Amino acid sequence: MLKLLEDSLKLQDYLVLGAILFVLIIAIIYIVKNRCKYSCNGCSRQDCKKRRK
Amino acid sequence: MKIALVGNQNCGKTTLFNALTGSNQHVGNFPGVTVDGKVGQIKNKEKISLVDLPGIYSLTPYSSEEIVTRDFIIKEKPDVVLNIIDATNIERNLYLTMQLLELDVPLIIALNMMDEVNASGNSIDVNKLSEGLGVKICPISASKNQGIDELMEETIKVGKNKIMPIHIDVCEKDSPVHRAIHAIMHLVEDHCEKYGLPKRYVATQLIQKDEILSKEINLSENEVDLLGHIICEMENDNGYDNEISIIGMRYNYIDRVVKKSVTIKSTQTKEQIRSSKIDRILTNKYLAFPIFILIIGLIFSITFGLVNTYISDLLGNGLNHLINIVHKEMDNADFNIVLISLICDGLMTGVFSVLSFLPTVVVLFFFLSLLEDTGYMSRVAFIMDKPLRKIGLSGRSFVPLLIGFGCSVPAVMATRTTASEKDKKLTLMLIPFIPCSAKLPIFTAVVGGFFKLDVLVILGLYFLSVALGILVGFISKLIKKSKPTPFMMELPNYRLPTVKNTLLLMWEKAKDFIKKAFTVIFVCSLIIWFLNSFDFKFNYVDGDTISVDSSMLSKISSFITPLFRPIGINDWRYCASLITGLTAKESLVSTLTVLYGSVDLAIVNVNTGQILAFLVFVILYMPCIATFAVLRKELKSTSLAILYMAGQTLFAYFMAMLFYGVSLLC
Repeated sequence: MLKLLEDSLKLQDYLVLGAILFVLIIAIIYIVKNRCKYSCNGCSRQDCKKRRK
Repeated sequence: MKIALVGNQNCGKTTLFNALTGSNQHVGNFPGVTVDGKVGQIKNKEKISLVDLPGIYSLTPYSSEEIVTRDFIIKEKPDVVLNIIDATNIERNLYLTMQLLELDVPLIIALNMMDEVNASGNSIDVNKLSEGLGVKICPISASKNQGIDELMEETIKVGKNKIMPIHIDVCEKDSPVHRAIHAIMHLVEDHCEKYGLPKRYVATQLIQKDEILSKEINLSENEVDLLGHIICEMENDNGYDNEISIIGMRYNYIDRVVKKSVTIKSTQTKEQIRSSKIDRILTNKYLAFPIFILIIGLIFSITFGLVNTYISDLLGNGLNHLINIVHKEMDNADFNIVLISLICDGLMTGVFSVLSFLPTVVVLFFFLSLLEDTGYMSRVAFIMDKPLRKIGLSGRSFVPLLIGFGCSVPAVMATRTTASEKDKKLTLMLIPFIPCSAKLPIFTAVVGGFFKLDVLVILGLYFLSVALGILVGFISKLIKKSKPTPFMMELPNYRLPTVKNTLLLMWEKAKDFIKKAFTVIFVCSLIIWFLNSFDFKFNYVDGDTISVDSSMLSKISSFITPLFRPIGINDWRYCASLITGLTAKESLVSTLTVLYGSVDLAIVNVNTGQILAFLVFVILYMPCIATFAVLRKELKSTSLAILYMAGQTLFAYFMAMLFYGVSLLC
């Protein structure tokens, strides 16, 4: 099992882990939101959706 | 309401766009700065949007920019087309206007740079010009914000009331061109109605053998034959070929209109006279190359020598110190050891390794921005046209290749300014051969620790990579047997760069770089740390009770290690570094350091052949993931981007095998 889970995590660990997860989620949302930039010619998201339709 | 901003390259479209929308788009003194449409809202008029389209010289689809602009006007049908014209170059700028008039869309003309025209003592009778073209014209000076409000008012009026240009038959009555245009207009009448295209525009484009349009309107075989016959007859009667006949017709009309409305006292403006004087030295037959090499040498030595060695190193050391402090403090505060490893060895090391190169990237872009804003970059493209022609490219491809020495990502993006799709693809193929700045730490760490004459080996690697790129370009030219696209570029006047524009560009680059570090690199670092810190049973690999050889990364790397044996790589840790190098090339060094303790220890048990083969593979194999992402975007095809990357890696593999094989024989 993960040692991370084996050991009893303290409140401070949870806080740091929470902060990392928060940044990770923001980073993933940013990458996903901007994925459109990598698939078409730098247009706005609305244009992108319109083109896909 | 949607307004489309259309005009020649470098005529001030983006300056007008910024003035009208209040945005801060980068304005360059290099033709083709705007490579895709940018949308903005008109200041204080929220329901009116303005689209800044790429600069073009005609609507005949010679380049991708021309196709983008033409498609936008015809397919997106903006409410009004705002055609911006450089008044100091009125004849050439009006050529595009003649084609826009044929499109039969609500049109208004902004006559820009009127301040320069007046300063040179020339004058333009706007009313007579407007009468001659059958369209409303507003004189402005976008850079000095003169006449902008009046232009906006008139543009909205034209858009709201759908005011079309007055129809003027620009060809001479009963001339062969006139007969041909009207015959073709009758021939394609039904097709034009069906596809909603203006007849006259279609007729002139078909005479110019516009293949894209010809396919779009679906002409039958008989119609194509008839079309060929009409064009042939026109050429025989006129004594000129199809292109010259149409171009001549448009320029003859422009000439007549300009003669009536423009009074010329001086053929050149003050700016043009000053630029000609500077060009006598900078584009001189004998001095051009030495001056160029001197300037580039200076930029590279400051960027990679001074900034990379001192500022980036200082930042790198500072960031490492920060990691140590965080590690110590977390240890003292009794944080979970896995969490400490995740933060310090994974996230901070990964993100900071990239952030330490921020000064280098920003400074490189500062210099490139200076070259661009002064107008020197256009001259460089002009100087490099001849040598690049030998490998099937034109001068336009030089700028992306030059940027490639800094970073492949902006280099790939810069290929948008190349003249044709063929040039763009070949340039994209050659960019990975240009060693980017991220490879410098690899050379410095590995070569510096192994070879005594390290500078010569590093220079040799640079030379080898560029030489192989030239060879690939040459082979590609021989296979495709294609001639380079004709290179036509306007040399803009020399200008003093503005502080605002330069700072804006540096800020944009820094912002993009930091965003990338905290998003893509952050996620990649986390994944690499996870794979390196746990085994397949999710036990934490601490290096003492559980060996590093049990980690997922080790197992995965060991699985692919046999693939690298033919190039002399037998250790999974080298393979792991090659994999992590795909996220960012710099992480190749950090991976070797983490796995071996230091790069010096990593190269203890390898011989010269193995190290050379490894370096050759590293210098040539596929670029980082960020480059792949932009490559995919530029090629507009995932499969083609994968093919490019696979081809590049395969080439690197065979070259490394060749080096290793030769070393075994010696």
